[in-house]
Amino acid sequence: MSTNLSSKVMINDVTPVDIENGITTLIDIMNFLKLESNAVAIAVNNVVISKSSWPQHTLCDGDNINVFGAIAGG
Amino acid sequence: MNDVLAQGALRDSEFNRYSRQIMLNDWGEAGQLRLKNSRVVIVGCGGLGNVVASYLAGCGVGHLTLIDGDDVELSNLPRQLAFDIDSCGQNKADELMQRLYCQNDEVDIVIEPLSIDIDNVQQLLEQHNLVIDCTDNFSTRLLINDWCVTHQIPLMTAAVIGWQGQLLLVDPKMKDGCYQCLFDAPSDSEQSCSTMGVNPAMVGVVGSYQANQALRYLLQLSTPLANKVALIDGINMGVTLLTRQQNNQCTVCRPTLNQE
Repeated sequence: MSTNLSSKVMINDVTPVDIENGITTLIDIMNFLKLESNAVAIAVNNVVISKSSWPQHTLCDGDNINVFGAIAGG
Repeated sequence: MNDVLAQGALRDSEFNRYSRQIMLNDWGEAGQLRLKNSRVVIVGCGGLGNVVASYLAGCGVGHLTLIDGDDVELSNLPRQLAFDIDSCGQNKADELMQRLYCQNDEVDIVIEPLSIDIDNVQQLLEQHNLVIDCTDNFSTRLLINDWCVTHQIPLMTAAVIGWQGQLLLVDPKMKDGCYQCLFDAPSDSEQSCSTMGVNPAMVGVVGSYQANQALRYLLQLSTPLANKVALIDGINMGVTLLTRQQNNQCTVCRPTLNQE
């Protein structure tokens, strides 16, 4: 019997990402998504994580990640 | 909160006009007096500003200042419902004021038909107890946020693009960060209605949320936005509330915190 032991996070409720193979922190997620950081915010399990903490914030199996960009329209 | 905002008395015409909201248990005569004695400035009189100003004037917020240097254009009409074809070429703040006075001539409205900038921001925003950001570019949003944090004036800010909206309150009583804690250096070249497009109905949805939460704040009722940002999804009809945190490297609100 085979067992799937990979750890995954879910991005914006639709995109599962395997948090192995070099993706372990929020800054890795930004690099994976190829996003510029100045106009993007990230929340993990419904709590926004300050940009200064992205390099140290380690992802856990099952984390729900919201990535959202700044919008300006009024 | 300052109880002086609930002082004074309502006229008979005001009791009659606002009767359906005064009858709400958590609104009442005291709440109506708070609105009557409030001074609110709305920066940007486009889509969001149309909606927010119409509800705040209609509900009896005593003083509104409307700021916008732009003229109405034909492409504004699908979502800026206070304007009509005859408004095109006229200043938005002026046109909106005239519409609001038709709706409610018992409120005081001042217009500033100009663009807000570093040189006039103090003069335009001071003497108000709530600032509402309905602007359409990041540089103005960051300027308003900076001024409000520095002067400890609450800021209700919203934005809309495509089928999405965002809404948050920067409350000086809370220490959960400001607009710049979320987005520190967005570019004006991206994510505006003129470059990305917008569903006109979403402007109404987001503007209504913004007006609703502004009224709750003025009424001194609870709002989740003081420490959260709301992401409003017009595709799946969802609102996601995310808890905000102060960015300890924020150049706007960290200096204020460090002075305490």
